[in-house]
Amino acid sequence: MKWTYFHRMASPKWFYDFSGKILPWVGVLALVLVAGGLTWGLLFTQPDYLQGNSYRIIFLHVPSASLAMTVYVGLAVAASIGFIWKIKLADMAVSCLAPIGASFCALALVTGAIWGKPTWGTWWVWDARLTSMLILLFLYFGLIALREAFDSRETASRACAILAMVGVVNIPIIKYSVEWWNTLHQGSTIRITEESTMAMEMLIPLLMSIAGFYLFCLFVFLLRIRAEILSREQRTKWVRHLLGANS
Amino acid sequence: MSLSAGLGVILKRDLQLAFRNRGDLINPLVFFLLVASLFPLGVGPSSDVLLIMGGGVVWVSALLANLLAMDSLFRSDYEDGSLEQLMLSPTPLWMVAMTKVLAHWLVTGLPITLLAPVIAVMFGLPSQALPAVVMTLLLGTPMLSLIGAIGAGLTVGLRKGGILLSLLTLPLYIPVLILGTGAIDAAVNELPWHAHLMWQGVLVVLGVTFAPLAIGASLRVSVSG
Amino acid sequence: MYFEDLNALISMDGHGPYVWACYGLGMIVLAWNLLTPLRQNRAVAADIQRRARRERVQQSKQ
Repeated sequence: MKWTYFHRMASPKWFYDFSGKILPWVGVLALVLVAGGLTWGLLFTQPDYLQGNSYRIIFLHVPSASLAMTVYVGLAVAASIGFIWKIKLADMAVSCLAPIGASFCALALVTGAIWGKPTWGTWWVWDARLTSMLILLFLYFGLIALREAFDSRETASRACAILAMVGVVNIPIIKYSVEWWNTLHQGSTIRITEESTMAMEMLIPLLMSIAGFYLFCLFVFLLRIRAEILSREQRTKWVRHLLGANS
Repeated sequence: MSLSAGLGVILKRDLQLAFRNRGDLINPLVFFLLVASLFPLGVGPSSDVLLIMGGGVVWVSALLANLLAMDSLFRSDYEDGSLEQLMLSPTPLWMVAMTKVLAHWLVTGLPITLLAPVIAVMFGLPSQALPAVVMTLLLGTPMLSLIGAIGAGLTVGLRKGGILLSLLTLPLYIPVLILGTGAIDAAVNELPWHAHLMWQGVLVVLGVTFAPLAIGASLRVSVSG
Repeated sequence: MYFEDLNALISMDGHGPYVWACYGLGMIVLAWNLLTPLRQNRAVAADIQRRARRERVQQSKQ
């Protein structure tokens, strides 16, 4: 493979064309998987013998929690690529990923809390996983707020890149320290669930829903970054040509 | 001028500036005492509750006082242009940043650490916990300063940096807080607390290794932007 | 379908409000993620076209 391939991939125009081609496929597949997984989980599976019907929330909760984590790591990878090689496209990816990740992080938290009410009898438990998800949400808020604070796009993306890299180094430290803190004060908490082998019947819709959420995330990410490309490249010929704004 | 002499000059200058502004020196300490004394007023003076909370209150107050002081770390240098001059000097920026953080810690983190046992006693912590309070803060506050300096570097160019700074740095302070209060809790319960201290040492080593690079990069972004 | 009728589906043995609240919120988050970039896209396109029109008008005046 030639190196020029990577350079081409980093060019906004190439990416705009390429993402336009895969966009419908990603969208349709995401729709099918999300709709299928959620409907299956919601309507057709047996209730859990311990948690009853409230366990149906996991078909939403698990995918969004997993996405929240993955998106932050992806964001940090994009941030370091953008920071080191000064690739514009990577900067755009960082700015597009932050709100998506934050929204799924918030969804994971809220669904976790709602699930806790019938299961634990309380809305919020300072459980290790919920707590680190809350901290992750704060990290997302920090990134979004920092980007908003700068007037210049260039400065904002470099500042956000540094913050994202610092954040991703800290995530494992935060995660382990929160877990350790949780075991230390075990008296006040309840364990989330027994490590149970999940029935096939529940696992398949869950996996479907996870795959669907990831694809959905990819889909909306592509939508966002395409808008961002148009906005940042609006003075170039190809964008003006594309939108029929050529004089 | 040699490298160490240059850094020495920066250190001396920062300390001198700090001692000329007595207010800036005393305010974080007063804030520290004030925040800590709000807790008994908020939850009631029952000594059992205060004993359970003591370690956490000392740490949270120290953390907030440190955060409050962090905003001024690069602010005046940025505003009068001396930060730009420092960046033009042949001394590597991360070394300059380290020196400035050290100077800042000497006038905020260290006094807070020395004052902490007073608050610990006021919360009725047993005497065997006092060494834990001092030691965890001695290892923890430099870490807080290092992390805070990254945020301070990122926000120094912004007009309203203060509240943003806390949003950026507080989540990153959490591991330091957990280890610090964990050690104090262990000491209060007469359990060994050296393992916690060693983990804090690990964090400090990590922080000293990586944070200066991030501080340098963030200053570069703020000054060039 | 696991549930016998619509009422059972809605109440879910008492867990209904929790489950449906979650799914409702989930749909809101998905819809928000979908609509924000679409709106943004339209705004950017309109902006570029407006600017181009203005430039054309200025050019023709000269």
